[in-house]
Amino acid sequence: MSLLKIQDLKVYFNARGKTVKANNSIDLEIRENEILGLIGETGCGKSILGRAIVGLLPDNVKIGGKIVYRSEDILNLSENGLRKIRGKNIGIILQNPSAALNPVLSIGNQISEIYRYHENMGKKEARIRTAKMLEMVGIDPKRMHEYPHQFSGGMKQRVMIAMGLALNPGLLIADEPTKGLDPTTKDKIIDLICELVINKNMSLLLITHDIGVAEKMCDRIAVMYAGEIIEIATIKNILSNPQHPYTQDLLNSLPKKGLNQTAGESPSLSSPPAGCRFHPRCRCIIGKCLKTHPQLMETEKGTSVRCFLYGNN
Amino acid sequence: MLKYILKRIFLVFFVVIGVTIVTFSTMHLAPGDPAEVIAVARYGDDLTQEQIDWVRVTEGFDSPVYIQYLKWIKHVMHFDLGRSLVTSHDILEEITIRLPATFKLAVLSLVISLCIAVPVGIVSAVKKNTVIDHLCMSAALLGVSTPNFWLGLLLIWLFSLTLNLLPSYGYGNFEHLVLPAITLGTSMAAITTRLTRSSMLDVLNQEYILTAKAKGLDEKTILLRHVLKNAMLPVITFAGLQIGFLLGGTVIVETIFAWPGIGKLLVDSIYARDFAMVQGCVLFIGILFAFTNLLVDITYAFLDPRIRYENT
Ligand SMILES: Nc1ncnc2c1ncn2[C@@H]1O[C@H](COP(=O)(O)OP(=O)(O)O)[C@@H](O)[C@H]1O
Ligand code: SF4
Ligand SMILES: [Mg+2]
Repeated sequence: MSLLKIQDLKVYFNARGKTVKANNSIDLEIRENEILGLIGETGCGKSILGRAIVGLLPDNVKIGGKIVYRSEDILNLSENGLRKIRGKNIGIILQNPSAALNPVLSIGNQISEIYRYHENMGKKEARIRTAKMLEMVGIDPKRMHEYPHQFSGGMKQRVMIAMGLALNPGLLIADEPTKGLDPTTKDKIIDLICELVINKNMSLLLITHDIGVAEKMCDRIAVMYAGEIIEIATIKNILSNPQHPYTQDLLNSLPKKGLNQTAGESPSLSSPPAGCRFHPRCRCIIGKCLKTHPQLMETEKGTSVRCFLYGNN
Repeated sequence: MLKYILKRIFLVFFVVIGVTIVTFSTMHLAPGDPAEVIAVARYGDDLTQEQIDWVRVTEGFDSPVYIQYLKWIKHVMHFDLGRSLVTSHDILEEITIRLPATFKLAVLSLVISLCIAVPVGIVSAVKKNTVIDHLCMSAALLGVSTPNFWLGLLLIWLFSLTLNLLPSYGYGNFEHLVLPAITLGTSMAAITTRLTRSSMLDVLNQEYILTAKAKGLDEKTILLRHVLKNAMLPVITFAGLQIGFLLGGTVIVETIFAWPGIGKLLVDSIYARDFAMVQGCVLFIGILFAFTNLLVDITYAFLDPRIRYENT
């Protein structure tokens, strides 16, 4: 069953006269109870995709396509309708928790305001719920009166998780939740998110830089390149048989750290290469890659790829 | 926070010492022989050498400078700023007599300025790049570039001479306070409006505002809970600095409206070449400024949890 269905999503920025195609014709489905990983190098449009799903994009943006949550197209919702979806149906953990928490409000207040606003709870009741939530993410509820700067990076991330899950949304989007954390903390945070998501029968869109993390947790993985999905496959398929040359490069780089193992520069999103976006860096390039743009096509059960080497593309 | 406050107090202590040194030096580094300057103020321009020497000895100008400074400091610490060279009145007393006038003007102008600047700045930021924003910012620009003396004269012309509603100068009841306070208040409001707007915009661009939106909170809640508290921090600091300046007397406005505050006292003393009085005023203003700053810093600590809960 599909929980969220993105169809032909286009997010274009208008930056200094240039059009930056941050998301270009994205088709993506997130199923019930699924953990879907979204990987790709910095600047390829992952965060923009996550933010588009909750309608949290900057003003200078043009957006097209469909984002259907259950049966509602998010892109057709009014600001008011969006507010009801945010937090309640779709929670998002933004990247960079140190900047994502308000420095002058206690963390307890920053969580309890969610209950007070969405569920019209009184102060006391909201505080009890906040305490429960903090306990769930492994923070001593006594610390609810403390302020963000009194927490470590990992602890701030736990606060962000508590905020994202406060209302038991059907879908959680976690944008690079382990970035900047040390390896032990990283594992704990990932385990925590996955445990909670699985216990609550939620779905998770896990945006990550860390292919190791994705491999460990996800049911399926979508690989993004230059604003497009270039491969989407079950974890089993992608590990045993990665098809897109870029995906292969990524997986080969696994023992080393980070994703930027492919030679060559990241493509510009305002004037991307013609034909296949990846062709300037591709080691398997064939003639038509230079001029024709490949489509995302199912090549075997559980795998779709955007590459001329496969199927009848 | 205790550590923070103690640190500030410690700093103020040094600032005050600095102020005394600077004040003392103005008297001694000024061109000419201080003994002669005082003698001129006391006996007029027709001086004999004996008179100058007499002043030099009685005022202690013949001893080394640091001895003179220490002596002066000793007096200052006993709240003795000396006597006016012209009227022989006690300087501190003269200043404290002027204080209420300056204080009233300072407080009312600040209130006027904040009552205009904060709402206008907020609306401007929220309605960024709309007609309303452009109007507000044009008004603020006009305010910044209008000199105080010109605005003061304009107000006098309009409200006193033409409409006959308010007195054009003097001190006494509330009516006298209105025009000078509006003159000062509106010109300060211009800068504070711009500060409020830019501070608001800065906060609105922070990631935690995005988090607040992601929680599904509405605009009003976000503005009141998340934006204002952060955005007002620099505005409060600035208002504190302004009150420090205002308490030091506002030379131009007090002069235009013949407002008997510290600023006017300072100007009058300069014209009368009453250097002792000038020295007293400058010292007083400097110390007052240092202490208002201390107060602002402490207030800030209470408002900003990052300082309030600083590890000690
Ligand atoms: N406000 C903006 N204005 C113009 N371009 C933007 C803006 N925000 C993001 N972009 C562009 O969109 C692209 C995708 O950004 P993002 O989704 O943050 O990448 P990442 O995959 O690292 O999360 C980037 O190349 C960036 O230049
Ligand atoms: S389409 Fe061509 S250039 Fe693009 S990834 Fe496939 S082989 Fe490489
Ligand atoms: Mg990102």
